Amino acid sequence: MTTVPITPDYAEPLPPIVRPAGETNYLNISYTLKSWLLTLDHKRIGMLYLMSVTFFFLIGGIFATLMRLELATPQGDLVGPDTYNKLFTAHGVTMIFFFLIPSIPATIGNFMLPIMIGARDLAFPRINLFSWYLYLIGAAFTMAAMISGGVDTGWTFYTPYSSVYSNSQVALAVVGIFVTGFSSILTGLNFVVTVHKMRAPGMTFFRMPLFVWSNYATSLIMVLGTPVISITLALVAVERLFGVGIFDPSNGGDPVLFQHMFWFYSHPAVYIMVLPGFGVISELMAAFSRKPVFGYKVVAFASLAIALLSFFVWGHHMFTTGQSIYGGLVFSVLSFLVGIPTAVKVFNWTFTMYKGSVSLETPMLFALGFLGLFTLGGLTGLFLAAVGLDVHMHDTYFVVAHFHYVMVGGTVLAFLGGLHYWWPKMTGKMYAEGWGKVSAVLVFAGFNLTFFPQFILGYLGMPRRYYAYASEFQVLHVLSSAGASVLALGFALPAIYLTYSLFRGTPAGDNPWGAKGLEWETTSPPPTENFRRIPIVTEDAYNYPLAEPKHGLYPEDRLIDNQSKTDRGDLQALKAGDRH
Amino acid sequence: MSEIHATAPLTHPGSPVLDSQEPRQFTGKETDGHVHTFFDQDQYPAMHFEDAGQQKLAAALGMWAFLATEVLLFAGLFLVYTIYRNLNHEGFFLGSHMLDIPKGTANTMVLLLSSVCVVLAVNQAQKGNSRGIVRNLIFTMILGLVFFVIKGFEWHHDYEEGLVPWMQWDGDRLGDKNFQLRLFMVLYFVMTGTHAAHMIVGMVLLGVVAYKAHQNRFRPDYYTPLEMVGLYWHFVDIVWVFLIPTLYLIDLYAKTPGGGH
Ligand code: HEM
Ligand SMILES: [Cu+2]
Repeated sequence: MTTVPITPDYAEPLPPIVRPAGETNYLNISYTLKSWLLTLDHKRIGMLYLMSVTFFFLIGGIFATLMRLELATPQGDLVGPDTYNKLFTAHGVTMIFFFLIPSIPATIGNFMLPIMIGARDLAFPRINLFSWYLYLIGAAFTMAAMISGGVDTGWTFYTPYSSVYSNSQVALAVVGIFVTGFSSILTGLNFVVTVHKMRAPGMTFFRMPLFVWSNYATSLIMVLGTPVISITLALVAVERLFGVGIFDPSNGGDPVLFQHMFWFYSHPAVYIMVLPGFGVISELMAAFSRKPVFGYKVVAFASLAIALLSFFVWGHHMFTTGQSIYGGLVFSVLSFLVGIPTAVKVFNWTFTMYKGSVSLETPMLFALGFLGLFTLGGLTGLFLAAVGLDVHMHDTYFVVAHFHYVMVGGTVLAFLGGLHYWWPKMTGKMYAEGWGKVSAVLVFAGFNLTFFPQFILGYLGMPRRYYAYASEFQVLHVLSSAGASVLALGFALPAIYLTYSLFRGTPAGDNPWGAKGLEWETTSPPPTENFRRIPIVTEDAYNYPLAEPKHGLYPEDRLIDNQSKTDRGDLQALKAGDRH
Repeated sequence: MSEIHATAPLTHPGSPVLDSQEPRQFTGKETDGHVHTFFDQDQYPAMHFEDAGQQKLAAALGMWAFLATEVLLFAGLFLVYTIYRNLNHEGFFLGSHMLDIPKGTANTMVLLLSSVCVVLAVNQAQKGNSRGIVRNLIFTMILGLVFFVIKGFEWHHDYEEGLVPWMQWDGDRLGDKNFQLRLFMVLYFVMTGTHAAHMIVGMVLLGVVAYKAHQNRFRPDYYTPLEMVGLYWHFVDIVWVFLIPTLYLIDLYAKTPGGGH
């Protein structure tokens, strides 16, 4: 029995989930390589994506390590300026296009989104697989460019650096990003259609988990924004390959037009990166506070508001390009506006914890880390959105620190939190909780040590993208490099203990966190068709009886016999035994 | 909203009452000596859909979402064009007047006619006439080829005139503003080229659908692939309808840029 009850009647405990002997799931249904490479199962494709993005995270991390090593001393002793240019380009391109953008939606989203709305798969399984291959082909092109000489333009490919002055492999890299863009478009398209057309009976829009809402908003940006960068980069490729001028001023082109078109996508793209993270955090906050997300609808609409507004703020990257002062003013005000729905979310997550029964398991530790780091990143974004201040800060380490706080402190922490939270569902195995906590703490500490000094560096005037610097900056740079090694350790740990748990982990049970949501109603790992029967949804998301205590932190009179109140997962039931 | 009572399942008409359903057995089911797996391609509706209606709606929404992507792709090109045209009136005026309007007009007619043929093919599908579908799709593809032939002659003519910036460029028409003409021609080739690339994709898709029709794969209640490819083909036509005035018809009757009749 894996269905939701017809009437939500907590008076009677749900029947235990009985597993038929020799039951198949999506993992053990076949073991051949072919069955993986040609799979149409969204869960397997999600796992394939997970392996690929992890690989590119490693590659991007290696580039970053080399940069941080170089920056340990003021002179350029490890690499020269040209190599350094290629390193930061390779780092940025790999991390943004091949790790961050697909990180949450294509892995956890691919796996969980259909299950969370009670569907048997994404609407277009073949397109889903195709998108993974496109991603790999694109990555192959871009990586070929990195190996065969590299690219020295920065991930932003500003013309005329990229079109006229660079003699590196720009065209090849750009073609790779073009192809990968289509993989992202197809994932978004699949999500949009799935959310609209594949929901289980009773799963109305306002019963969808917020993770689904935020991935939906992300998908809209993917579908509407990505083609613009595709065509823009294609124009750069045409310009280089055919030697014609499109953005080349000596041929009447306008290099600033490139920047407009680049940021028209790339600002929304930062929300492609962070919105799915928002979704993960909503899930984690509810599950580990045992409370519904505070202001569910507001959080849902905030995702849409962010997606919409994000298309109208691109000019804040261009305050110093000589765009009109009124333009700057409007972009500045609009950028402040994006801060509102974003701040709403942060407040609502905080209020979700308020009077909740908060428990600090690994996913929640990552979520709390997210909350602090993302808030700092978002607030410094507002600094940068103030025209006057940005003229001072633009192209300094302050910007570098800002976007690492939102992208690493935000998205990567959310990714790790989500990965730990859903790992037992995805693999059926429990990871080593103790090591998880160690990793969460190391990441948080290492991250702050790496990037907080960069705010100060930037404020003091250290420009970004330089391989050598004035010696008075050395202390802060050394702190940053030291922090980076702690951070690297923090990232390496999960890779090890999660992989280990695949083989030696204890079976996790179907709902180890005692969490709500359709994904916890099916078995772990789920069967190929996700549900033996399509569930009929009769309750809102996060229907935790208000502040239902999880750890007996509250006086007995506030407990309403919670054992019989909800279906507690196997693990929780075990734990509860030694607490009461 | 949450007041909708989900105890009455919100399903598509005709779907089985989900609750009383036995757990569906997806894998290993054997019919006609063929072991079905969950993702078997020859099942309609496909296994992960509840019913045919759901599958159709999903396909349609998917196609429209894809067209939205395509609109924004071309929007990028039209944006670049608009901005540069505003800055380079003379070059764009001259360039536009050097294009071959009769050939462009003929191609417009050809494409519109091809769209009619697609509509006729869909109409035949509704009547369950596979041969009719194939016939009309072949007409469509022939018209597509005619478009390429005319376009080919046109591009060749541009080449002979020295209007291809990266191959054959006859430098001196506007003196120090020559770069303006170059810019126009670059955009002309990029925009018509992108459109042509879309047509090639469309032709391949038409071929695939025609083959399916030839195999009698469509029924009056199932011809979704045909309908989707048709939508795509119409879209490609509409892009051309926008390209024609944008590129060929700038200040058509004027003697000077922005001048009167
Ligand atoms: C409250 C919301 C935010 C505001 C107001 C904001 C504002 C800004 C501004 C004004 C800049 C330009 C700084 C300069 O170059 O001088 C900037 C840069 C950047 N932001 Fe944000 N930001 C916000 C959130 C985010 C988020 C959520 C992400 C990513 C997940 C992000 C990623 C970036 C990146 C990558 C850059 C640097 C791009 C580059 O030049 O390489 N931002 N931000
Ligand atoms: Cu931005």
